[in-house]
Amino acid sequence: MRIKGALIRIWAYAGIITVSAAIVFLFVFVFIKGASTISWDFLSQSPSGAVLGEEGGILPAITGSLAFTLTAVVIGAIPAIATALYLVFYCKSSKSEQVIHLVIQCIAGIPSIVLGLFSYSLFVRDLNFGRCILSSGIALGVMILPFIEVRAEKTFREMNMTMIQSAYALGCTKSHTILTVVLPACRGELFSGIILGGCYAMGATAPMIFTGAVAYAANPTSIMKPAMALPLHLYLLVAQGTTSLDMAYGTAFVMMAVILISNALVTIYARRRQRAWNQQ
Amino acid sequence: MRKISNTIFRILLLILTGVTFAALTFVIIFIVKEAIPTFEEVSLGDFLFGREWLPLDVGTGHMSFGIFNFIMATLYVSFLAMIISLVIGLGASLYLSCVASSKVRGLMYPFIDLLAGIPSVVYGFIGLTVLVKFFIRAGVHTGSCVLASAILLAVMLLPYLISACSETLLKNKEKYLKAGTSLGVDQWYTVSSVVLPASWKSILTIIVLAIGRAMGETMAVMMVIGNANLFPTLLGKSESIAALIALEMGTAVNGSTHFHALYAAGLVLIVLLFIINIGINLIRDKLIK
Amino acid sequence: MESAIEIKNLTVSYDGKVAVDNVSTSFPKKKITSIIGPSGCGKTTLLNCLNGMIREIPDVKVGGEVYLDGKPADRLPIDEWRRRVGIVFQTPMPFPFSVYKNLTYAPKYYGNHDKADLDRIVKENLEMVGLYEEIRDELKKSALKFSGGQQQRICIARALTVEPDVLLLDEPCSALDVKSIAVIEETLMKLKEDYTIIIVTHNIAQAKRLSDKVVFIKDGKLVEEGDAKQVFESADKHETREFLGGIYG
Repeated sequence: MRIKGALIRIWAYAGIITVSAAIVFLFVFVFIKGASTISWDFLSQSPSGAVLGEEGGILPAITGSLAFTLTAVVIGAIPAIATALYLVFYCKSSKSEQVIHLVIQCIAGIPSIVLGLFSYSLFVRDLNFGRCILSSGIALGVMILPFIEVRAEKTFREMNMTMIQSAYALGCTKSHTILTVVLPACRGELFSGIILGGCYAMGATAPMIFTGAVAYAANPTSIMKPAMALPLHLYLLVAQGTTSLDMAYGTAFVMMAVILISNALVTIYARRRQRAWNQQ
Repeated sequence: MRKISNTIFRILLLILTGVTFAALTFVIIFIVKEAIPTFEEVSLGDFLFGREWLPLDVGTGHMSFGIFNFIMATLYVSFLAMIISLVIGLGASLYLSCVASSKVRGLMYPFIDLLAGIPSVVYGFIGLTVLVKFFIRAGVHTGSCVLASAILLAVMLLPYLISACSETLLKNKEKYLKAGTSLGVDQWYTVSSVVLPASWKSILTIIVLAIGRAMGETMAVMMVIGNANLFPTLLGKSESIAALIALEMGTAVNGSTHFHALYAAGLVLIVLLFIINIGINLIRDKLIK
Repeated sequence: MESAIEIKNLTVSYDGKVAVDNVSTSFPKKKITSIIGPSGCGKTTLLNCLNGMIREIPDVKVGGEVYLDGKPADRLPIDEWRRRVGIVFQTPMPFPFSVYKNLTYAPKYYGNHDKADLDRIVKENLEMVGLYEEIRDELKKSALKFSGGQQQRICIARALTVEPDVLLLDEPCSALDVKSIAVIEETLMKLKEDYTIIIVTHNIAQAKRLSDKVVFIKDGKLVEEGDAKQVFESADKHETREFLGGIYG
């Protein structure tokens, strides 16, 4: 039986080495291949060239991605946090809680491309919004809503009940307690949930592919207009079969850098908060 | 005054929750409603088991909507990815929960979470430039194949599997390891004979959630699977349901059977997920009492 | 003896399980009353009834009456009830802001924004718990950075800022070291001059040191109540004697 133990041990080491190698490979590969493309011009100019994007830069894709992400976060985060607050602090019937949870799980289970299809036929076609940032933002918002809701609800439930009861015990109303104690105390977790949800929306291509992201557009000026987006731009560069993939690597570089920076921010913030708690 | 603001706040939350609930329910109903007209043209049997997908009448007067190959491709890719990911991910979780100190764990978790943040297009792109090239060199015609997309998907699933599995393993280790060590048994023996078996139940649940993600993944799979309506084989081209929808929704005419059939395909994807979910729960309850 | 709170035929059940069974008793004004009993006997549930917190718990049924100053507490608005009956919990749990903000949290809520008056409230209440001299220069520091004993006293001071009539303490010392316990007990003896104090404790020695009246509860039922001295020296019921003799944990 010793052998079984030894095998498990080898499995453990092999597993973690493979995973770490894969992560390092993905980032190093993209950063090395993309580094030569990154320049101020690349970040500050519009794409051009015979096959679009072969020359020039990706500025409208960056600003477009920001617009999509912001719209998605506004549409997704506010109802998500409100629902989490309602479920944790107000909902007294376990039946309605179960029903709301069921619906949220169903939405989380819907593939993002189906959400894109939904938004395409309802907003782009039936309601005549046309392809625009709002149509995509709605699909992306619905996509990240369960993600943010689950995290927010977990944070609220894990909050120290004594602290909340202390506020009730001073005679404060629920709304006052939520606004002055609960939300400030959970600020960090809510913030990181929104950032990670935003990254998720930024990187998703499927929901925006026919709803608002286009091959070429100027910097976004209105949410009723279409815009470019980094992931779609990358996809098109690859799909159009440009002569060189340098621009594609450069675009991937920018997205990977955004992911790396946001994750680092969230991690460092969580660390600092934890340290603050441990110091008490 | 306080009373009023308290009431306003409560009503506001209630309205927001209600709107969220109604909107989300509406999305689900909308998808079902858009899918149903398909079955006025095609019988459910033909739709699910037909192998011919000819959504446009190109003058032959013949149209056909059979998504059997797409269903099989989705299942094939997802399960293959799941197996690859589980072999690697469970190993890594064992390391994180049973070897790593809490400090190392604290560093590794955010590191592994990076994988979850990488956009799927970037995965697809690297899949094309690395995996597909590798398969071409290995002699696979055009390089795009089911195996390539399964490997890619496996990497995408890793962060979800690892964070959930190592959490479960860690809990069970803390529960049982002391008892094991106090009997003088080797740590790894306790891990293999007590901790791992005790965790299977939760691991099955994690697998269900991961399969859900795998089946819905669109871009990365679409970029490396080859997109041909063929029955999936390990090194052959194929096309998943999600890829089908993404490729054709821009060209499908609103209100046409083609358009409704894409919704129906999406619905099949959701229903498949439910069936797998329920199925694994049943197996789990049977296996572990 | 005049009582600050009285309960009559109080019965509480969670999901059909009875936690407090037909308890009637009273808590005399400006005295310390200890509620003692084995763990899980319903002490905390009883405490939750005294300030109406029980209403926040889902699936709970409450029967019987609570009287505040002779008037039914049910008729008071819930926030008024809670203002008049303050509570301090087992683990010190200051809000994650500065000491100053912790102590002005409630006064500000009740509409007091006068800087000088708020300063006075902070000073007086910290003096009340014997903390003002200790931390007067650190009022802007996060309350979470103080020791457990200091945090608990900050929580007591915070409970006092709304000028309650009654102060409930739910095992306030169980998470603290011996020295902090002594300081808190001293504080409570001083507070008794102005407030009615009800303390739940599993520490019999502490109950002996502090209380004027003792209420002994077992399995949700009131077994014995009376003058502390009398109960500790010669309890009527053999169950009480067994408990005080240390038979249950």
